[in-house]
Amino acid sequence: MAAVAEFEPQVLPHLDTLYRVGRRLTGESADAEDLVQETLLRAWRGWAGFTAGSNVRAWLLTILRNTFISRWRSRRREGTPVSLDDADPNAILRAVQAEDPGGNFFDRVVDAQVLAAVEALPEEYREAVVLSDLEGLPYAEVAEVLGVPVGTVKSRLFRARRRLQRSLHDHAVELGILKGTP
Amino acid sequence: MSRTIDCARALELMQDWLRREVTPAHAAELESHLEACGACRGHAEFESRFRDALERAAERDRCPAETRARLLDALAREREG
Repeated sequence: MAAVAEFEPQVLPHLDTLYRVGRRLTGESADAEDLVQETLLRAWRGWAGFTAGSNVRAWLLTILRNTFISRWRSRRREGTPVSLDDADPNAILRAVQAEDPGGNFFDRVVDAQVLAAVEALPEEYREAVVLSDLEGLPYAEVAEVLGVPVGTVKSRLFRARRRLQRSLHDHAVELGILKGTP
Repeated sequence: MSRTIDCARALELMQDWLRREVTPAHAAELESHLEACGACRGHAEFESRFRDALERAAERDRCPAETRARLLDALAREREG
């Protein structure tokens, strides 16, 4: 059981992470604030049940995700549905790499566009990418938060990454950074 | 001396290697493949630039000070209540 005095020192260092993940899940800053507030209040109420010494970040993110699912998910616009493109993610990669094999264009895509592309992903892919690639959680921690096996996390990440790469590639073409193959 | 792996296996290991979530033995196999294979080296560079772009975008995004203050207020009210 966790000590009351430990709540803030343990929880508050993760506020930026909770906010960023909330922002990517809800797509809106006002909703992200509400979601994080609800998460903090639930965490406080449940703190006695937190096992001291276990992973507080994973615990908080699990609360955040459950809160999102129960309160926000139904209201949020959904990302593009899973399409046939996912049947051959490597074909996407070959098309993206055709003109710029080293991926130099990634350095020229602005952060806002990267985040917009992440937010446009279907939720199942988006949450995996946000936790793993944006927040840098290890596979095992992502699996814990999402409640799925590590293999499932890896396969979602693989497909999500291909979609993002294509979306950033298409954006680079629109901006004239890449010519785009006809 | 590490075992020789093919490009398909190298691609399988690459993401875990980029995240440093790979066993030393697998890392050695992949690294020795990368030394010999220009195509996979290029692919590693591509994936690594992509990862950097995602990490950069995430770092820029922090909880604003006003939001943080409101969240701490709400928490304080809950704790007192």
